[in-house]
Amino acid sequence: MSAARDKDAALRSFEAAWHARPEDRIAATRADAMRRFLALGLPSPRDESWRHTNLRALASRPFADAEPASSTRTSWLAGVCADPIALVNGRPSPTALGRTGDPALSIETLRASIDRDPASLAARLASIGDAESERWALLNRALFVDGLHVRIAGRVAAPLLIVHCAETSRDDAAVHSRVLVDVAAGAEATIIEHHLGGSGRATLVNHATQLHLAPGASVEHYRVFSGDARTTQFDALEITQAADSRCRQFTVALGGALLRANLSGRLDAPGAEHDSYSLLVGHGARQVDCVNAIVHAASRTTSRQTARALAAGTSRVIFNSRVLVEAGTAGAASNQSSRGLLLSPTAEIDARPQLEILADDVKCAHGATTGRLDPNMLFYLLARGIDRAAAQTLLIYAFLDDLLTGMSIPGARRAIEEALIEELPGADLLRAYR
Amino acid sequence: MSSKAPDVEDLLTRKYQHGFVTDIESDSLPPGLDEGVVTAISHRKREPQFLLDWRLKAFRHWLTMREPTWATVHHPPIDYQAISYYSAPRTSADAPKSIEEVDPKLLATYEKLGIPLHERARLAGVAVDAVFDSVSVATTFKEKLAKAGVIFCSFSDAVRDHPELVERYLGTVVPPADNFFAALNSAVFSDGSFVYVPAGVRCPMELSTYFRINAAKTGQFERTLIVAAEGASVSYLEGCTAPMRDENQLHAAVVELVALDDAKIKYSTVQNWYPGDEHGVGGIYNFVTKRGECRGRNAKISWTQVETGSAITWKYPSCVLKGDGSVGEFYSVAVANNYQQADTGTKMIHIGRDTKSTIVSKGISAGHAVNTYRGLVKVLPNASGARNFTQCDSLLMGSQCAAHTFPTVEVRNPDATVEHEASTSRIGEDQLFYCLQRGVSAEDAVNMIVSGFCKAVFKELPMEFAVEAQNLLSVSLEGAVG
Repeated sequence: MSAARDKDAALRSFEAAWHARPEDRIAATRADAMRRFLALGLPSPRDESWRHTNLRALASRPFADAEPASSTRTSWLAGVCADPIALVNGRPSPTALGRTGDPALSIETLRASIDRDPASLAARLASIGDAESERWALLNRALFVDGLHVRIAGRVAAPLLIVHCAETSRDDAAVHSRVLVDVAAGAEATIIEHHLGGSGRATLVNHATQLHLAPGASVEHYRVFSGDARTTQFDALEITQAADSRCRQFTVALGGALLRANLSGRLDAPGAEHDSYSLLVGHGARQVDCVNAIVHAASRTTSRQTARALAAGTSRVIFNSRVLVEAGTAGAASNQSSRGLLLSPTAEIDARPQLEILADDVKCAHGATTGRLDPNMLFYLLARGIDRAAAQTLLIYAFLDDLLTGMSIPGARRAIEEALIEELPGADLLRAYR
Repeated sequence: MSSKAPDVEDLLTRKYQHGFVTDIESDSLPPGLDEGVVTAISHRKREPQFLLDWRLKAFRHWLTMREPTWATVHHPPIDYQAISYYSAPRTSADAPKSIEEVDPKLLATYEKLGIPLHERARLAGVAVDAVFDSVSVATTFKEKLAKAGVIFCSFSDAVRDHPELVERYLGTVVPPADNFFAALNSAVFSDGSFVYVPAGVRCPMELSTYFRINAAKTGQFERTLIVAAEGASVSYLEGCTAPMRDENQLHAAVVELVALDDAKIKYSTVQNWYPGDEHGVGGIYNFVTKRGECRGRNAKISWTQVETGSAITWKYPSCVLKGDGSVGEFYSVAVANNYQQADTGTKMIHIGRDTKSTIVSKGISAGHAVNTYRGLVKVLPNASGARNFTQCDSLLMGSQCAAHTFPTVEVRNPDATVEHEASTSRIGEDQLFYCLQRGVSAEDAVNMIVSGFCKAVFKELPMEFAVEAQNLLSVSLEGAVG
């Protein structure tokens, strides 16, 4: 066995999985994606947006599709929603779909939706992964087994919780799943996706979500990652926004061995507003690589990106955000703020706040800081008789929790805070303070 | 603003003032590049064997490298075999011993450029080592410097007179294999400047060199090496203009700075090479590697640059902060008008403890230009107490131009503090309105606002350059707002 063959083991296994699949009604778009994926190969550090994440070890492992399975695991976010929908190994559990007493909400499996209208679904699925940096989204288009198609026609009061988990007894399982969400004009909803990852096995999860907001729609979207220390997760989130739509997006990274979370937002019409919040916690040997790209493709569009990163142990946290203001637009406003806190001499935080401006009537700014706790704040607490360890713990928590204050679902915020506390040094103390 | 349109047109079509070709016979090698050319350059310059070996090694490595494509610049492929790699004015055969001996035609060229060499040298007390094309032809104030123990000479002279210093420091900051253009430069560099300031010496005057590109189809490949020994300090000024020409010219220089314990080096540049005409035809390709290394404790390296010229600029003056307590600074104004493309920025690599760096970058885009800031701040695990502050602002003038900001921050020490701020906007309408209300013309108002935008950088320039830089900025941008 030559070394050269070894290093492409993953690529070859994906190709094999592709050949083994029965053809479905969107075979053409899948074939196109697979062809492009194979032509590009797996990302390497030579690719600008993959500079900080090396996939060499992963590339030399062969993967096989995870079999259909059931799961007994539950999400710690389950309290926010009466009947969450579970996707196990990319396949929705049949019982969950009949739900929704809400007439404004309809959910079906992605397969059913494809079978009904293959032509428009093929076009819709193809929009993601056009950027060469989104190789995993290309692979996802070629290989996703199933997923959900959610349509929101009006105001949906209760949050919708989608729980993704991988259940397998093998160490080479790969899960490819996709969720489509269409939010009609003027509709409102909160969608929470919770990724539980694998269960003690070295699992690869490659998920993609596409969210489209019609004019005047308003959505709050959460994606929470709490995979175990053997889960590798690639997640691509595409958000397209029409006129006067509003989107608030929270990305919370609390788990996994390697997490690459892409967000590509496109503000297609005047008045669209996008806020994204990224809470990235590096713990143990975890690597979190968060890549946000927001395109201002129309006039009078607004985006704000806020990130808080914490790196402890030997972890590495990367926050890469890019704002592109297209030529011919006017009145775009964008603000990026990222702050990182390093807790250990063996951890690393990398930030790349990028601006690409092709129009002159803009107001764009970014600020990025990386460092230690503010000594003034620490002194303030010490001067009031709080011991150093407790003061540090409180400040670290406050630093991160700041980001969650914008969440409009109190139950979700509480549950995320509790999970966050478990990741921090001095968890007992923080629990006592709550 | 529409009533201003005719003025705008007039100003935008203003011709490059420094566009002319001095008629001096050149002694050039035919176009093409192979080991024979590298050897011929070395032989013509009567270089010692170690330098020839070094060049050949660099050349062989260059052959294995690919031209970088990551910069946000676009140009037709460069045919490296179509370039002549050596061009020296004939007058170099009997090199002038003093300024009076310099070919009057050359001196006239500098006069046309507005650089009264002797006057400037005598009145302003600036020693000028003027590089015309590739070979140094005039060196002044050598004696005064020699008295202080400062070596300031052309690179060729340094190779001849101080080979041990050259061998010791050459390529130690920018290794020959560092990048594609640095490797090319290492193989074929023709001349440049060499400065050595011995321990404890404060250089008695500001050192200045003028580079010009003259003969057609010759790339310029200068190599500058500045070494400040323990406790020494030096301020070096570099200014550039180039005559008008329709074919793009390649310029790939390498600048290396070495600062030992407690040494200070200040390197200032005003770059005003031919940027091409208003349709983007012609202009210089300026692919430069500039890097300084603070090798000793409490060393300091400061880069200040005003970049208004060149069709394409690819330049990242960097500081490697190895010594504990060392300081790196980067102050930059980059102006891009018409079809200019500037991809510039800096790298600050914090290796030693308590190292500090400051980055202030001001980018101005007008016309169809693209102006990119690209920077890296890297804090390595041992750099406890490291501090960086970065500010990069972009100003846009006109709806067709572009301004990009690509900073990277990598921190691996929990005691470090790194702060980065950036903003992009056009000239504030309220500021413009305020000026117009008070009877200031639109053009003066824009100049004033732009000067204010760049002030943080201009105040870092040595006096000699501050005025020139301000004038350059006005010429480059007048009428660009509309």
